[in-house]
Amino acid sequence: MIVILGTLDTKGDKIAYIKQLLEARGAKTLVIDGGVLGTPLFEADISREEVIRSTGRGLGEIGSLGEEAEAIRIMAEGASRIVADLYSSGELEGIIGVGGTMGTSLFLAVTAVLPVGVPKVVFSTTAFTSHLRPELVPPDLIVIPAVSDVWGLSSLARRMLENAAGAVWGAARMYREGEDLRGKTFLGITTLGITALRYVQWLTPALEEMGYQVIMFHVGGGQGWPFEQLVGQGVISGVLDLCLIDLCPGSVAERGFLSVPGRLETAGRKGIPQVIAPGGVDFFTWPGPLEAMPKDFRGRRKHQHNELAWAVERSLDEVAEAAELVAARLNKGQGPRAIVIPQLGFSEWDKPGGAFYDPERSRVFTHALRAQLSPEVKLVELKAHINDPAFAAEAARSFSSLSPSQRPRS
Amino acid sequence: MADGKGILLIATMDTKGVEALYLREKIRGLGRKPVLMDLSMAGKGEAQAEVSADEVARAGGSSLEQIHGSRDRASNTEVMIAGASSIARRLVEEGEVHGAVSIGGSTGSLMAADVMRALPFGIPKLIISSTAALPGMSTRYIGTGDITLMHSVIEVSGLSEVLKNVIDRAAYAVCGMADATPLGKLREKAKLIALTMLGPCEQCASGVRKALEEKGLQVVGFSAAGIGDRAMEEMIAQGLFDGVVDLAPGGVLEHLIGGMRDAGPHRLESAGEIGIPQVISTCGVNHITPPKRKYTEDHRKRRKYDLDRFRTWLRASPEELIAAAQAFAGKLNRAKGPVRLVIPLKGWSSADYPGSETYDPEQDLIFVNELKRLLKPEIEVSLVKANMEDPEFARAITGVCEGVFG
Repeated sequence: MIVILGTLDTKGDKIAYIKQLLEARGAKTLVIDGGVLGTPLFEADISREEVIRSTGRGLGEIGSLGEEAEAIRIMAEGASRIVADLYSSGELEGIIGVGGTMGTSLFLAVTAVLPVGVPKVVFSTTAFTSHLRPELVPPDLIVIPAVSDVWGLSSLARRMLENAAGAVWGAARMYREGEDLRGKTFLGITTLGITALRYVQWLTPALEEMGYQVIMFHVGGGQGWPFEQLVGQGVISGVLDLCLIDLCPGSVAERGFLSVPGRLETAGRKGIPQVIAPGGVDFFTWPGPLEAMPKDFRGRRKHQHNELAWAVERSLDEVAEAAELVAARLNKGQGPRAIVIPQLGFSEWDKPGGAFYDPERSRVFTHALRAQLSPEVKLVELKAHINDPAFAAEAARSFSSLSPSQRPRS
Repeated sequence: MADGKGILLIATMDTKGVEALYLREKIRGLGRKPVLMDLSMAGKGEAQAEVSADEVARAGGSSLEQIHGSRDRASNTEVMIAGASSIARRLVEEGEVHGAVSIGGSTGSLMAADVMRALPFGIPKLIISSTAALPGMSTRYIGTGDITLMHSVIEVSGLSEVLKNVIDRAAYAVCGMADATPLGKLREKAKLIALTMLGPCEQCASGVRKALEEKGLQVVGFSAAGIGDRAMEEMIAQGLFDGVVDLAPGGVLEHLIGGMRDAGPHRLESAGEIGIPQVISTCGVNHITPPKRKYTEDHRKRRKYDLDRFRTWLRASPEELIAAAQAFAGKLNRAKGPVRLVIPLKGWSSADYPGSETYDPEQDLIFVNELKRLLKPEIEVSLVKANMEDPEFARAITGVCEGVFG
């Protein structure tokens, strides 16, 4: 069954059209109404009243809500429970949301309860605006932008809805017929492109030889978010979190540099084996054009990483600050943890002659880390550069020493 | 569903070859005909692609050999995008492909997005990208196109079970989309009218829309805040509309001064280029919205209107009104189809009402007079003694529409 989630007061005509399209192709649908403002255009399979009741509240409580954000929160809570039940019972084959600002927020909150692999499609007027905050986006989301704000059902709006319905229909068919990820686990490795960090080429075969399946996250491209989400879902059963460029002190993050709040914390909370290294801690990532970079950073050593991002050197104070953050977060962890420090440099640019080379950096990092790191966390200092094969070998060795009995084979 | 519809698959075979070949097999397995187009610039022109990198480079006016010999990455990329776009358009026109999908990291996805933007509205377009979550990235990918973005969960690098799961889903999704869209039936009998609007002319927009719908026209609304109206221009250029009611063309001046509603250099041009009738008014044309962090001393001194907590409209200066009028006249004088302007004399939006700080109908006339002076004579300008949001102004617009939309 495919769930259609949206607000039947404002988007009723579009929801009805998607329902017709899906049913015409033989899909079973279930419409859940998350609207709270006006009258629903048609009767949902799960009415807004049922959604509210599933949170244990009475209808009166939401009727009087003036605050839209609070209304969305309650509707999201109720719809999440209903959708989670449908998933557990095995009935759910996919979910499609239709929304403006409110419908999109509702959809993101509800799909947060669904594991990776379950088809999630959103047709949204706010598809590419700041409403789609990366920490709220499910790692396998399919986003279809509503190009115009579509009043009613013009032939243009219908074409977009036909595409949206086709996408969720196809994805749901794959979910029914194809391989799925339920019950499988993987090791997660964080890294950057091959020009900056190169350990993956040695590390992946070494880990695979040990019987693990490995998946990679390019944290320079914003994959710190899905990385933490997959650890949270239990899809990742051990991490080699060797690149921390998105671990950013708050004062720098708020200027617009790439930062994923909560990095390092999920694995610690789940208690899974965790090997850490300060890969890429020689710089910050600026995800935008140079003209938009804060002026006080523009004078630093920097280089254009690709068309979309600049790398800007971290000061030694900021490197020490990163070490303190690492220590504070690792100290809270519950599982076996180790940190490997490649003393000869943290990225390809942190080498003699490289754009960010600074022989002091690893000493500053290690000093600040030692001062605060709990003795529970194993600390390995390695006289090697992060891109030397010796670093990859040590990371693999450290990981196997943390989890001698665990073999997260799928 | 095995009807052999073609699906264009865009990838760089030098870096994402394994993943692209896997996707191609999946599409084939679903009974579709994959057409793999290789955009690699560093590869040797792998023979596996249906459209090789060399063919793409040649269609772009160069060759793979020339590209290998050049270090100018930006112009090489341009060549590949131009070549790929023209081949992709031809494949669509000839009915060879009914949908497009791409797989890649950031560079590959950006190139694929440019190619997909060259394809007509409505044709399924799906980008599988590992960097979709990066703030601002998806805006850059998609721009104003009707392009679906699929987050790839992990880096597109090696066929792990997770990536296979993602690619499988993408293959099924794009085939599901291609199956849902019978091409060529986008247009219906009822004429399609594009209408721009902003919050401060909502009443007018709503009144005009209702009146036009009663006359049997279909109306598609676009928010004129810089993205929606830009998308509208592209869709007009594709021939999707029969007429335009441009209530809020403020993006023209915003482009000149770098405001938040900047709708690009081609705002107010597409309708004239393809010759469809346009009825134009002036909501927001007398206001600018520079980003607050870029406010100058002069900006701080201006009369202003706070739309909400985040958005403030500043009154345009007389010089800016003149510049706007010149830009309007330059664009509209080139129009091949009928153009009518309808301008309210008692304020151009709900921000301009008697008593509001920015209400200044006399200054608005600076724009009107300069515009009338420069416009070619066949363009009629009607002045209406009302505010933009008065019902009689919507009626005046509707009346003019009836004349030009037939």
